[in-house]
Amino acid sequence: MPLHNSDGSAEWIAGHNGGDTRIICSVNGPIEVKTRDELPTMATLELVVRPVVGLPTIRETLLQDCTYGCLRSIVLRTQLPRSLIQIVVQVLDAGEPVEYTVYELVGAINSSVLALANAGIPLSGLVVAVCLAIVEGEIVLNPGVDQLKKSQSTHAVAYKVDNGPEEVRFRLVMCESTGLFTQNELLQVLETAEDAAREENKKMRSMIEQQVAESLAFA
Amino acid sequence: MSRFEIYSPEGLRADGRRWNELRHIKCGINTHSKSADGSAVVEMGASKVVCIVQGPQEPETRSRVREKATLSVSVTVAPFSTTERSKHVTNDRRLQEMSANLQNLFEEAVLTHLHPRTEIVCSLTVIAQDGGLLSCCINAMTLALIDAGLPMYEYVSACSVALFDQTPLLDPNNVEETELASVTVGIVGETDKISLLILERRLGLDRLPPALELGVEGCKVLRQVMDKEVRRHGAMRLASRAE
Amino acid sequence: MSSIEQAFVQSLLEDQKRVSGRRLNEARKLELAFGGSYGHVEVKMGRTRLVAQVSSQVAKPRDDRPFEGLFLITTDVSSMASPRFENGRQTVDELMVTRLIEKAIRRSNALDLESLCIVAGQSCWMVRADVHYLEYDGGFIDASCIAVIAALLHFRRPDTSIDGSRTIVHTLDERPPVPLSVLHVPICVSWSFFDNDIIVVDADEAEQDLRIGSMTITINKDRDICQFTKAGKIPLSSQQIIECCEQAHGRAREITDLIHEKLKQDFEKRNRGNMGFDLAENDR
Repeated sequence: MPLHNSDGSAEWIAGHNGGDTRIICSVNGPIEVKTRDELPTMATLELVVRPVVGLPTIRETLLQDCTYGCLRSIVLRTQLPRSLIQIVVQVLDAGEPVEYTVYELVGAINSSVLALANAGIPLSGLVVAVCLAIVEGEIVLNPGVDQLKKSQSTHAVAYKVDNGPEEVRFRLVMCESTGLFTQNELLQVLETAEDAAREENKKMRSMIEQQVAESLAFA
Repeated sequence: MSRFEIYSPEGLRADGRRWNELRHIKCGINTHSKSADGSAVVEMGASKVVCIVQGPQEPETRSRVREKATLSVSVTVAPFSTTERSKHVTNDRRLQEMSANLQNLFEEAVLTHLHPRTEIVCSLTVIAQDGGLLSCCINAMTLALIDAGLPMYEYVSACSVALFDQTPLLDPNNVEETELASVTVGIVGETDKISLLILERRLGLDRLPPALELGVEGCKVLRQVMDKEVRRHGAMRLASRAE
Repeated sequence: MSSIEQAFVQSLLEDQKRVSGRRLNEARKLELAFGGSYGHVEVKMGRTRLVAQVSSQVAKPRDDRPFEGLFLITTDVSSMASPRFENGRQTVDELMVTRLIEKAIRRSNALDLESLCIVAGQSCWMVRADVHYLEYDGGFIDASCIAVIAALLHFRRPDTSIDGSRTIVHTLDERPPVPLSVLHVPICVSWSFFDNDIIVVDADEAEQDLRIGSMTITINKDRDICQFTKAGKIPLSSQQIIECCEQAHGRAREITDLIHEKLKQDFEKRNRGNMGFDLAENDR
């Protein structure tokens, strides 16, 4: 359900074995920026990630920083100089134990990209994130809570999707890995992640297309 | 805390008062004549509050430039005001809430529209606490605002009432206040209409009316005491001018 | 809000009408939904929308209160609710929301803290209620209070047992989780004051921008006033105050019944899924 008071909003729900991750994101912008945050050549991007329990800690700062890095690569900030784009990511259900951050990270990235698109902020492309884990030598896409607990390593991988020839369309923007893994395993993870990201990209694109079609006044 | 008698069967409270008796009230107006536009000290029993008023003056920040005068209230509690010396806390939420309540209450009584684009700064310092903190602050602020010569519709007076079973006890001290639920009642002028009502502890709805009634009566007495002090001070001022 | 909008809202109020079509003493309809996990509640009142999440963890009790557990409520408003709120900065109005919820629920002893004690002075449960504001349309105090108390009633904490000097926290599969001991259900009802002595219940965003003052009463089904805050603006006779309290009591009864009804429905749904899992539930 959209948030009425925000310029754009999105909710990202991932049901997996043993948990449901539910993340809601709102985008306000371009709006007036405080003089001390104002940038003369581009828009200021403000991102806040809020946890479901308690006040934001170092863990949320990490999520915030990774998400910020991804968004910075797609938001065309120079098109909106001297303005503010305010993004709030609210975790409503973490769906994973506190030791892990993969689902929340992936949810924060995907929901904020959708919300930015919904708010009509100029973007150079989409960023699509997926999460994986290596459990007993096997690469598992969207691991359940039990699998997370058994895993040797967890990976949140984000690809940037551009318009253009097929070979440059998917480029890696973030790979956040925790745990023990070999170089080979990481390459395999990236390969699996890219395929998954292509699927996810289709879903997100059609969602945006549908939403745009619905919002067209002359439709 | 030991269970001593809050209200004896003979109708006496721990400090020897009856149920409808106020504590000894001592108030002074223009107590800090050199340092402020208006000042007052109010003592209710062992509680003591000093209020200093500056203004109307130019607002410190632009957000306070409005069609009406802005009342900015700040409350500071001296660390020696309680028996247990407390660590100094800045940004105490309880005090911030109290300042907001004082500001809202006095906006009703002060004719703020006569001084547009100005700020009236009220600083309250709690010297000693023995119950009835908010009411003591309200009474001190009324006197200080009058001393500053600010136009007001009427006196604002307040006092609290604690409830011992069905019996309301006027102007409770610290012991009564910690043991019982109490309400603070504030009125503007000599009316039966209540402007301020703060209750922070659980209290049965059916026990409220007698407490309100007693509170309003207490406020009226306080108004008289304050009026007497203002007149005494005014007469003194007039006499000194005549010389 | 533009001057013309202000004039419109005010002139409607003077004709005893409201933009939303409600009567002056009519509150908005309350929607209450429980989430998948224990202690997750979403409350909607008009366009105001918020989520309360109650959680628990084992902690050390305070030195001066060794027999009591800990209970925290956080109510931070972010710019998600409305661009009018700044991230990470609390205004006076937001502070009043925090303080009122604190007084209404925590200081009125709605949660029995002594029942949260595990080993005196050693370990206790720390219960926290986090309120997340998603949309703002006035009435944050009333809605947050309902959300927090409903979440406390819905929440189940893991069971514990003591083995010698060790405290064992049982997982949800080992032992059925235990409900919190909620002693009473406080409900907040807010009134807004406007020029020309107009008093309105449950103001929405436009009305809240225009109002000159407010009054909040917290009361439960048993006619206990838990908190009363009125500072200035329209003076009321004690008769009027008692009338307002009676109205608030009526609404508190309605809402308490609604919460219990919804709770019953939710647990029936859960019990159908896994038979006999929720034996610890009692019918309060």
